[in-house]
Amino acid sequence: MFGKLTINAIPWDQPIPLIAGAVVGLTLLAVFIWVVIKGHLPYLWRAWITSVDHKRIGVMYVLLGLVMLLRGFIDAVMMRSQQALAYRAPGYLPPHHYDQIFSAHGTIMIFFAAMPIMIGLMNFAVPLQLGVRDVAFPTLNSTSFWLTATGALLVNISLVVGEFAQTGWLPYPPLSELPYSPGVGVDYYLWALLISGAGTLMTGINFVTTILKMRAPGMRYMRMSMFCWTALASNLLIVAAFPILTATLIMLVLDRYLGFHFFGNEGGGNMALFINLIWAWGHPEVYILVLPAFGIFSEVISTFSGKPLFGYRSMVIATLGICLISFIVWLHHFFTMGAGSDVNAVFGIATSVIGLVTGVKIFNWLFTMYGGRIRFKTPMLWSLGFLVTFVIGGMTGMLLAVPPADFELHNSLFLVAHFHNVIISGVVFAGFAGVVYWFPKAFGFRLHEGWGKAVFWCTLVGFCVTFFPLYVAGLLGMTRRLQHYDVAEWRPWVLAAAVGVAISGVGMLCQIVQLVVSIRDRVALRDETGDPWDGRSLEWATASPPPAFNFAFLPDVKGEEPYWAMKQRAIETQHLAAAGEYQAITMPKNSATGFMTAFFATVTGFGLTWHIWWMVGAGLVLAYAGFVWFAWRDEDEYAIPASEVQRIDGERRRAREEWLARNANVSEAA
Amino acid sequence: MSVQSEDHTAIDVAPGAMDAERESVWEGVQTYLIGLALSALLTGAAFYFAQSQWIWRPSIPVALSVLAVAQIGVHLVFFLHLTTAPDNVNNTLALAFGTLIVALVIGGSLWIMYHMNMNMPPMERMPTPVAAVARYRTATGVIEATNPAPVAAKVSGVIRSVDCDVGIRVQKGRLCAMIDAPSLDRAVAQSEGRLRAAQARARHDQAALAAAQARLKHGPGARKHVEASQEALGRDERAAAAMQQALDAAKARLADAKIIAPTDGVVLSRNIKPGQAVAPNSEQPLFLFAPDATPVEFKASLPGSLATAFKTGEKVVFTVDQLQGESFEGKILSVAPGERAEAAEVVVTAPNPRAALKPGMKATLRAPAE
Amino acid sequence: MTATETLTLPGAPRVQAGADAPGHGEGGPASKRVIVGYGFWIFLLSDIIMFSAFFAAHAVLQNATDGGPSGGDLFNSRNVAIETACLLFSSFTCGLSAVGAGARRMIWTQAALFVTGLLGLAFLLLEAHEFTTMIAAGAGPRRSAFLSSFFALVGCHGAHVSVGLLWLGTMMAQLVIKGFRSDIERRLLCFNLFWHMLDIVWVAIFTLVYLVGGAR
Repeated sequence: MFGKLTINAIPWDQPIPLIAGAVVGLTLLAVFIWVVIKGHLPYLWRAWITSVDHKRIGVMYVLLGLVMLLRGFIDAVMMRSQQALAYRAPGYLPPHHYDQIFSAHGTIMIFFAAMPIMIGLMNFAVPLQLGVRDVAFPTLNSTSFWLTATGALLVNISLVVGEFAQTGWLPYPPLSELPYSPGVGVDYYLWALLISGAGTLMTGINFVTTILKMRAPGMRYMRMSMFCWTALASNLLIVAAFPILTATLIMLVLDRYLGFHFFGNEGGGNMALFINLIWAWGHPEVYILVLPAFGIFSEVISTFSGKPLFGYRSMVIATLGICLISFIVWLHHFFTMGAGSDVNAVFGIATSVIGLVTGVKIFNWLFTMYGGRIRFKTPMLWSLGFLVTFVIGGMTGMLLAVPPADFELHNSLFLVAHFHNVIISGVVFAGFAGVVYWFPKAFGFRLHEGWGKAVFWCTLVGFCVTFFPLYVAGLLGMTRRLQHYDVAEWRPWVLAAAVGVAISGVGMLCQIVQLVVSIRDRVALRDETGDPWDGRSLEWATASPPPAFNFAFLPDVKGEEPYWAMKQRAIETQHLAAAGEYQAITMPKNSATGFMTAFFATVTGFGLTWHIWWMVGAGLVLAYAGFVWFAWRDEDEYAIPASEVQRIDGERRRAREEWLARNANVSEAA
Repeated sequence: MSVQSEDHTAIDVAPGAMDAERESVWEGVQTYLIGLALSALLTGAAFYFAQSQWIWRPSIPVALSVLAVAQIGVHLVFFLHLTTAPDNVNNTLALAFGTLIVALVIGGSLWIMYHMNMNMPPMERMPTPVAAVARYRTATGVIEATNPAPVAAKVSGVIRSVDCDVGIRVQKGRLCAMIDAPSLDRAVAQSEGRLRAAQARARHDQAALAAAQARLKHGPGARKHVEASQEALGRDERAAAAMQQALDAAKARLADAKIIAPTDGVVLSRNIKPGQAVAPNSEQPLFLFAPDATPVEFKASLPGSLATAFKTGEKVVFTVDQLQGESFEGKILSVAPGERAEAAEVVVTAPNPRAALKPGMKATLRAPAE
Repeated sequence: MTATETLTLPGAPRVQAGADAPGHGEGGPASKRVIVGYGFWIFLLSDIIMFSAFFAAHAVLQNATDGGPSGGDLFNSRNVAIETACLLFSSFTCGLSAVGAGARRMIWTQAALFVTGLLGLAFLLLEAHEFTTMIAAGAGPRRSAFLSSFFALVGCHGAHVSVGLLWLGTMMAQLVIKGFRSDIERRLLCFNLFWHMLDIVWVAIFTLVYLVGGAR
C-alpha cells in the first residue's frame, strides 16, 4: 500500500537528524499557526503564493535561496567540525551519515541556494532594467519557482523520512546504481533534481524570450544594461545545458527503476558515459551561476564608482565568449578518467582560453573604478572583496587546467578550495551584494549599513581562513570527502579551516541581526525617492517598491544608461519630463497553477521515491487535470484604470520633484 | 520616437508562422505539398540507398546523413517557413545555436568516449565477487575432501542399478547402487530348499511321533518307538532351525548386494556403471564419499615471495567461485616449496560445518600484494 | 492575421508592435503571437538538445550488445518505412490545418487535425507493436546497453508523440468550444511547431538508428 515506506523510515536511532527534523518541523508548524491565527493567510495566498508578478517571484526565490544557504552552511559546519575532530579518531559522524551530509551540502548549495538567489535577482531586476512590465510568460514564471521549491522540499524531507544519497552531489555510477545504493537516497536526489530542473528550464525559456523580444522602445541590444546581457547569456546556457541534465538523470532512473544497462557494467554499460554527459551539463552550470554574478558586479561597480562601465562592447563580447566557450571545456572535470593526452590537451587549452576572456572582464571592472569617485557602501565592499579573492580562485583554476598538474590535484582539497573560492567570491558575494543593492527597491527601505559591513568582514575573513588552509592541505595530499584521517601534517590546516567556518558562522548570525535591525528601523532607513544609490539603470526610475505595472509609460530609450540620461536632463532643467496621457494598463491575473502543479509534483516525486505507485498515478492525473483547468480559463488579464495609474505615478513624481527641489544647487548626486 | 536603422525595417515573425496577409490559401497549401513531395523523395532515396548493392558500402552512412540533413532542411523551410530574411533572424540564430550545442554534445561525447574506450586495457570477466579495493594477488586451488570414506563391493556380481552420482549430498543409509549377485541368490535359494527339506523332515518326524505315541497304549515296545521318534523330531527340528539360521544368514548377505552410503556426506566419485562386473577386494572402491563435518583442504600455488606472508597455523579468508557473496575462514596447514623453483605451495584447511564446501569447487585465497 | 493586432500583452505601450515598429524587439515589446511562438521555439530547441543527449548515449553504446542481438538482427525496414510515411503525412496534414486556421475554416482545420491524430496514432501503434515483439523475443531494454539506449531514445520520441496526441485532442476540444480566439490560435501555432519538430527528430532517428544502425 505504501511501497517501501514504513515507520522505520524515520531515523529513530539517529539523534542528529531526528532532533534537527523535530526542531525545524515544530518551528514551521508554529510559524504556520501564527500566520493563520493572525489572519495573514488570505493575504499570503493572494499577494505572494499565487502571484505572477516577477518582483514577488524574485523575492520568494531569494528567500528560498537564503534559507537553503543556511541549511547548506550548517552541513558545512558539521563537515568541518567532523574533520577537525577526526584525526586518528572516529569523530562524531559515522561514515554513512557523513557521506549524506557532504552530498546534501553540495546538492543544496548549488541547486537550492546559489541558483535560486541568482534566478531571483534576475527575476526581480531584468524586466525593470529592460523597461517592461513583466517577463514573457508570468504564469510559467510562478510555476518555475514553485517547482524549484518542490525540489528543495523533497531534499529536506529526506532528512527525516528515509535517507539522502551518499554518492556526493553528482551521483557517479556504479555507486549510484541499485546494487550499491539500494536505499531511497539516490531516488530522492533524482526526482528532486528532475522536478526543479524542469522549473529552471522554464525560467531559461522565459528569460531568453523576454530579453530578446520584450524591451522598451528604442532599447537596442547594445543599449541594454550589462546585467541583462549576462542574464541573457546565463539563460541561453540554461536552455542549452539543462536538457542534458534531464536526459542523463532519466537514464540513471531507467537503470535503477527498470533495469536498463546504461551505466552498469553488466549488459555492456559504460560508467564513463555518465560522467561525460553529466559534466557536459555541469560545466555550463557553473557559468550559469557566475555570469549573473558578473552582471551584478558590473552594475554595482559602475554605480558606486559614479562612472559608466568601462569597455561595454568588450564586456558584451567577453560575456558571449564565455557563454560559447563554456560548452567546450567540460572534460577538465575528468582529465584523469583516461581519455588520453590528445583529448586532455584540447580541453586544457580551451579551459585556459576561458580564463583569458574572464580576465578581460576583471580589467574592465578595474578600469571602471579608476578615475571614479568610489563610495564604500556594502555592495561595493562585496565587489572589492570579489575582485581580490576571485582572481586567486581563477588562478588556481588555471593551474588545474593543466592536465599533468590536475593528475596530482584532482579530487584533493586543492580542487575543493578552488571551486569554493570561485563560487563563494563569485556567486555568494554577488548574491549578497545584489540583495543589499536591490533590497530598497523591493521593500522600500535600505538594509542597515553598519551591520552590512559586519557581515562583509566576517564573511570575507571567514572565507579566507576556511579555504586558504585547504589549498595547502590539498597540496600536501589530502583528499576530499574524508570522514577521518591520520596524517599529522594535515592537522593544523584542518583545524584552521574549522576556525574559519566559525568566523563565517558569526557572519551568518550578523546577516540575521542585520535583517531584524533593518526591519525594526525601517522608517529611518526608508528609500524616499526610489533611487537610494544614485543609480544609472532603469529600475531606479521607478518608486520603491515599484507598482505592479512597473512603469506608467514604457520609457523611451535613446542611448546607453537611459535612466542616467533622464536624471541628468531633469537636474539640468530642474523639472521632470512631462507626463503624457495616462492609459489603462492590463496586467496578467494571479494564478494558482504554479503552486498546484508543484504540489502534485511533490506528491508524485515522493511516490516515485518510495515506489508508492497509486500516489504517482494520482499525482500525475491531478497535475494534468489542474493544468487543463488553467488552460481553459477565459479571463487571464485584468485592467488597472487610467485614474489609478495616474494616482500611483503621481506619488512617484511628487517624491522626485521634492528631491529635485532639495538638491537644487547640487550638480552632482551625493 | 521609434529608432529606425537600415536593416531593422521588418517586424519579427513568429517561428512557424506563415504570412497569411501575403499568401493565399492555395499558396499556403502549395508550400506544404512541395515540402511533402521533397521529403517523400528524400526518404525513399534513403531507404533505397541503405540496401542498395550499387553503392560503395562504406559511403552509405555518409550518404544517408546527407539525405537526412537535406530532409531536415526541407522541413524547416517548407513546413516551418524558416528563412534568413531579417524578420526571421532571431529564429534562425536560435536554431543555429541549438544545432551548435547538439553537434558539441554528440560529437564531443563520441570523441571523448572513443578515446576512453581505446585506452581501456582488455578486460576479462573477473570471477571474484567482492569488489577489489586494495591491490592483491590471488591464488586458487580446488577443494578436496580429507578422509574420504570408500565403499567397496562385499560380493561379486554385476551392477544392476546406480542411484547416486558425483556431487550429490546423501544421508547415511541411502541406497546408492544395487548389485546382481547370483551367488547370493543361489545361496538363498539353496538355504530355502534345505530349510524346506528340513521342515518337511520335521513334519514327517512329527507325524511319526504322533503315530508312535498313538501305539503307546499297545505295549512296552512302543515306548522305544516314541523315544526314537522324539529324538528324530528333535534332531530334525534343530536341523530345521539351523537351516532357518542359514537362510537368514543368506538373506542377510543379500543386503551386501545393496550399496548404501556409510555416512552423511557428498559423493566424491563414482567408479561403477550399470552392467559392470564387480568383485570384493578390487583396487578401486565403488564410491568415494566425503563425510560432512569433516574439514576440507585445498592447495594453492603462490610465488615464493608472497607465500612467505603466510605462516603455518595462520587464519586466512578465502572465497569460492560457486558460492558468490560468501567468504570462508580457514587455517594454513602447511607452506612448502613447490615443484617450480619460484613457487610455493600453501595448503589451507577449513571446517565445513554446513557442508557448503563441496570437493571440486574452486577456492580463491587472497594474498596481499608486495 | 496578427499584423495589425493591437497589443494584448501586459501594459499598453505607446508603440503598436505591428506594421510600423522595427523588428528585433527594438520597437517595444513584440506582439503576443511572436512572443509565444518564439518562446515555444526556444523550448523546442531545448527539447532537441535533450534528444541529442540520448542520441549521444546511443552512439556511444551502439556496439555494446553484450553478445546479444544487434540492429541488423532486429530492425525491420518495412515497418520503419510505414512508420516514417505515417509521420511524414501527419506533418503534412498538420500543415494543412495551419492553413485552415489561417483562413478561419473550422471544418477544414478540425478535419486536418483529426487525420493528423489518426496518423500519429497509427505510428504509435506500429511502434508499440515493434517494442512488444522485441521484448517478447528477449531483446528488451534489459538485454544489453545497446538495447537500453535504443528503447530510451526511440521511446522518448514515442512519449513525445503520445503527449502530442493528448495535446491535439485537448486543442480540438478547445477549438470547438472557444472557436478561433487569439489565444487558441497561438496554441495551434505552438502545436504545429511541436509536431513538425517531432518529424524532424524522426528523420534523424530513422536514418541513424534504423538505417545506419540496421546495417551492423
